[in-house]
Amino acid sequence: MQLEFALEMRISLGPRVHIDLAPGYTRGAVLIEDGTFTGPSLSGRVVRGSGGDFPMVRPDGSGRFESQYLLETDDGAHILKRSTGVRHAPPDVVRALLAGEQVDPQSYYMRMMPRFEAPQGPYDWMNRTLFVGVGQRNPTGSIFRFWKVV
Amino acid sequence: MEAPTPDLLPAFTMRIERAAPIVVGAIATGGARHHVPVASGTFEGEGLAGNLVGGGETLLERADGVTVIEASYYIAFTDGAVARCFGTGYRTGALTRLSLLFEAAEESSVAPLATRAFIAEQQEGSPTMTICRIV
Repeated sequence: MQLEFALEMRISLGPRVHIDLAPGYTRGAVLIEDGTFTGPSLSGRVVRGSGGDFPMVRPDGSGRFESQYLLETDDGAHILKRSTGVRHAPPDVVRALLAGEQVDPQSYYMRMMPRFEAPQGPYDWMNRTLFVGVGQRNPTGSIFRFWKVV
Repeated sequence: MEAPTPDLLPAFTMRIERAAPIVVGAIATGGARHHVPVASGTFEGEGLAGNLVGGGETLLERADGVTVIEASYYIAFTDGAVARCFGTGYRTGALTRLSLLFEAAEESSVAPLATRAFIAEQQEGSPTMTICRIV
């Protein structure tokens, strides 16, 4: 199995909401305000208001991510993106990330495994392809890069 | 500051003995549903070894010919620790690929498995599934 670069997404995030589920365990909700994506075989933008990222953060700051939102390609196709991910980092790195500081993306492990639902046509290969994503959280937004497993 | 470029490193091999499928059949929302229970099996790699003690693969044969798999494998390791390996993926033709995560008790020897993500592959006819660590 090998990885082949598929797309890069740049996302700006709206207000962050926290749900305190149990001592130390928080469900975050971060709605995507705006976003674009480009890659060798698709480009477009994130549909405004179509969803966001919902991290489940543990007492040590590590966590799991669930996300769901819609993509719209430049030629008008709509693609549903759902993703599960994992983040793990030393406590001081997590503190800096949660405080919205600029953090070296090499200092944490943030990987996503998205699934896509695309219409029949030029993007339907996404319905049967596994992807690996790497996340980078910046103070004003996120950069996600995705590779397909070939 | 650039984020890392990921890679897949072979980490574990899992041998799965599957029991007879439970066939639901064609369902109203499209496709055909089956469930394949895990009968037994082995798991090894990176200095860990264990046996499969439960789990299963829930399959949806979609209208486009691709089978979607929701998998769950319970692994009992030689030191008594237990982990759940779970995820989703696709079977296209003779090739099955899954994206996998682990859950394990926090104090157990295998708790670090839960901090990483994995991709697995099994060819039809091959006795083993190869699980690669996403680095």
